[in-house]
Amino acid sequence: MSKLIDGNIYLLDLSQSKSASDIVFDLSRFLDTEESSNKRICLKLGKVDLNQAQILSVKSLINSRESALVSLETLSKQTEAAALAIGLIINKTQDSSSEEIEVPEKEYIKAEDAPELVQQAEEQEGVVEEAETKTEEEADVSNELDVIFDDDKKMEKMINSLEANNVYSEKNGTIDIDIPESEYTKEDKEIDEFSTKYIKQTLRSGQLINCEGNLVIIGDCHSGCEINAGGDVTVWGTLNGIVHAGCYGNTKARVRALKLNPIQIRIAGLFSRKPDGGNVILVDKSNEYTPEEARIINNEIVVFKMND
Amino acid sequence: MTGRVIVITSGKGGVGKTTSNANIGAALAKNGHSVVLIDTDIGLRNLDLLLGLENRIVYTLVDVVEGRCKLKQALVKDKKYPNLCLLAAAQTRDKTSVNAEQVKEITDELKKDFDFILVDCPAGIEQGFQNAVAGASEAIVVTTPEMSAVRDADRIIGLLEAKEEIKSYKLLLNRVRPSMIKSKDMMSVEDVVNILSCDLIGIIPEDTGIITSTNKGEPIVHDDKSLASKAYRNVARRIEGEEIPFLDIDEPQDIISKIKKFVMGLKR
Repeated sequence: MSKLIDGNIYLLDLSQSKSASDIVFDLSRFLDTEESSNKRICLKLGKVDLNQAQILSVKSLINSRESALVSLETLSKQTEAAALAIGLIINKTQDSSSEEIEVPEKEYIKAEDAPELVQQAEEQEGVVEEAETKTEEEADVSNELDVIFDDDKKMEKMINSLEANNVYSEKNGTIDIDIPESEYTKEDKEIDEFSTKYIKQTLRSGQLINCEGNLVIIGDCHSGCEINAGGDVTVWGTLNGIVHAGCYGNTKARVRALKLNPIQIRIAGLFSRKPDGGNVILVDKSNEYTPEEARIINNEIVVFKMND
Repeated sequence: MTGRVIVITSGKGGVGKTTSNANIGAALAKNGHSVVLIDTDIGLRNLDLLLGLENRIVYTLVDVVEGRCKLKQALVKDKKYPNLCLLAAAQTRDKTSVNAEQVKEITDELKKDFDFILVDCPAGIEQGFQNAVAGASEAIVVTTPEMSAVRDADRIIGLLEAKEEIKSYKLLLNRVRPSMIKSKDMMSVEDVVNILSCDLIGIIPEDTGIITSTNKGEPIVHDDKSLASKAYRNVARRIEGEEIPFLDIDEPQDIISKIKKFVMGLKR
C-alpha cells in the first residue's frame, strides 16, 4: 500500500478506500507504524470526495507524527478544488478506468499522396541544418549536457528493456541473438548513439525481435512477426510484420525496407496501420524493388520512396 | 447484465472452429447483441484474420493477463458492427502464457458488459483447451462428417461432460456435402448425431464462399445469398432461443431428385 520513494518521501496509496472515514482509518493504521514519523507524505486518493475540513484533519493527523503532507493525488474534482484552496500541491492522475481504446485508426500515408508534407519535411531539415552550423559552440555544450542526461535515461531504458527481454526469452519462438556491436554512421546523431544489431535470416510469423539500438535485418519479415527496436529498423528484403522503431520514445527513428508493406508501423508513441484490404499477399514476381522509408512528419507517419 | 460465455471447440484442427466463431459472432452482432470474441489460440491466432482486424491489434490477451493494459484497451472493434469486439491472442507467445483462472477472470469481467462472449478454442485437449473452457458455461462442439473429426469430437464431449461449469453443449456439423451423402460416400447428419448422441445446433454446408471470405477478411454472414451464411445466421438465432427447423441444404435441383427424396423419406 505504501512505498518509500526517496529518502524520507513516502507515497501512500489510499485509492482503494471508499469513504472519508476509510481514508482516516487506513491513514492512522499507517501512522501507527514506526517508519511514519518525520516523513514527507504524498497521498494518493481514489474517487472519494473530501471537503476542506476533512483534508485539514487528514493534514493535522499526519502532522501529529511530525510528518508533513506534501502533495495529493485524486480523481475527485471536489477534493482537488478543496486541496487547492488549502494550498496543497496536486499531482495529476489519469482516471485509468475511462481510458479510451488506443487503436491505430490512422493509416500510414504515402508521400506521393501528400506532397505538402514532403515539402514541410524538406523545409524542416533545411532549418535544422542551418541552425546547427550557426551555433556550433552552443551546440557542443548542449550536446554534452544531453549526453549526461541521456545516460541516465539510457540506463533506465536498458534496464527496462533487459527486463522485457528476460520475460520473452523464456518462451519459445523468440530470437535473442547477441551480435557484436558495430559502428553505423548516419546524419542523425540521436540514432547514431545506439549500437546496431544485424540479423541474417527470414523472420517468420510469431518470431519476436527486441533490440535496444538500431536493427538491420538481412532477409524478409513475414506477416505475424514483430520487431521492436530503440533506434532505426532497416530491412534488406520485404517487410510484412509489425514494426516498432524508436520504441523507447525516439521520434526521429525511421523504418526502411526494400519492400515496405507492414501490418503496422509504430514509431515512438505513434501507431499507423496498413490500409484495409484482403488478407492474401499476392506474390510479386517482378524483381522491382522500390525502397521506402517511414518517418514522423508533423505527428504523422509518412512513407517516402527512397529512389533519389 | 450477465452475458453468456460460449466456448467453440472441436478437438481436431481444421474443422472450422474459428470460422464458426467469427460467423456466429458476426450474426449475433447483426441481430443487435453486443458480442465479444476471444481468441485463445495463442501463438497460432487466426480469428483476427477472418474478421480483417489484423492491422488494428495493439494489445492482446497476454498483455491483459500480464497487466500491460486494461481489458477495454485490448478490445478491437469490428469494422462493420461496433457492437462486435475482438480480444486477440498474442502471436509471439505460447499457450502457457496464460492459465485457466486468468481466462476465467477475463470472461467474468466481460460478462458484465456483453451479451455474448464467444471463446475460440485451439485444437487439442491440452493447456489451450483448458484455458478456453475455463470461463464458459455453454459449449458448441464443431465437427465434420469424417471419422477422425467425429472421434475427436466424442473425446471433447467426454471432457466437457466432466466439467461442472459447462451446463449445456451442442453439436455443430460443418462442411456437409449433400451430394456425397446421397452417394453414401459421407456420413449423414443422422449418423453423426447417432454416434455422438448430442443435440444439433446447426448444419453448415460446404461452401467455397468461405475461402473467399477468409481471403477478404469478412465473415461470410455479410453475404446474404450464400447457403453457409444462411446456416450460420440460423445457428445464431437458435443460440438466441428461437426454434427454427434445420436448413434444407440438400436442395434438389430437378423434379426427379425431389421425388426420389420423397420416396426415400417414405421408406424410412
